[in-house]
Amino acid sequence: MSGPLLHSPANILRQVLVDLGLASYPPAAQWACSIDVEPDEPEDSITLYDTDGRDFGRTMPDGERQEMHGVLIRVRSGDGQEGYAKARAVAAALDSVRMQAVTVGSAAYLVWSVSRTTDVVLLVKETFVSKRNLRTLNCVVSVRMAA
Amino acid sequence: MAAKKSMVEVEGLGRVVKATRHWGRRHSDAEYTVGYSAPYAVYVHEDMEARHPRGGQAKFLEQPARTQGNALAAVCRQAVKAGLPLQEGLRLQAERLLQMANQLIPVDTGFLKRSGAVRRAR
Repeated sequence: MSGPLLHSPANILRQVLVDLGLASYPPAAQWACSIDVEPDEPEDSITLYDTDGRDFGRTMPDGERQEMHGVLIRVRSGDGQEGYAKARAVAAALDSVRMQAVTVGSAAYLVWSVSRTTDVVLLVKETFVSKRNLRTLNCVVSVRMAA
Repeated sequence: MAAKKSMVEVEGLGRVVKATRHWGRRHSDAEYTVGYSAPYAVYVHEDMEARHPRGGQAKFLEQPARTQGNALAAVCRQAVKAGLPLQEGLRLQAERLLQMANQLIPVDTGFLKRSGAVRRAR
């Protein structure tokens, strides 16, 4: 299903969140969305990481490999309830993604679907000093470059 | 893009899938859970940026569960082939997953690793 991708699935999913109005590119005052590395500021932020996905083998008619890519979404917030609300909003929005066209840089992609593998997971506080709230949710993404 | 037939539309496959599920339900209703009971297990599992000087990584349970599906299924298949009941095959499969996770789990005091267990869910 995926074929060649010029950007990682986490990067592509970030653009989906930005297009849906749930996140912004850094620098942003709130809900800046980063990839692979969680910045110290802003306090309310979203970070996406690539994780292992799922391999469904090949389709019989044409031998195309069917795979979905894993993404972990981490939501950090100063206020616990705000963070939960944001994480649930992201989860609900991902549930509705279907054949969404996104553009990352000069590359166009088609996100077929996003399947969540977990609900919003509450982690312990970030550190004993900052006490910022951390939540994660996991999903697998089906994506290919647009023709 | 050309339309593809989904697998369930291929003639006869639906009957095979249905028969396999029926056989599975008849021979075993066992379900096993693999997990870690340490209170901070989820935090360690989900923290992708943590550095573990003694080795180990995040997603220590998810990674083998996703990437070693065929190997895990083979454990159950071989057990059943050897004459063991299906629920025993499932238990061995769960134990194997726990072994794989224990090879990836970060170790500091060893408490997290020791908290890993296989439990029969039903």
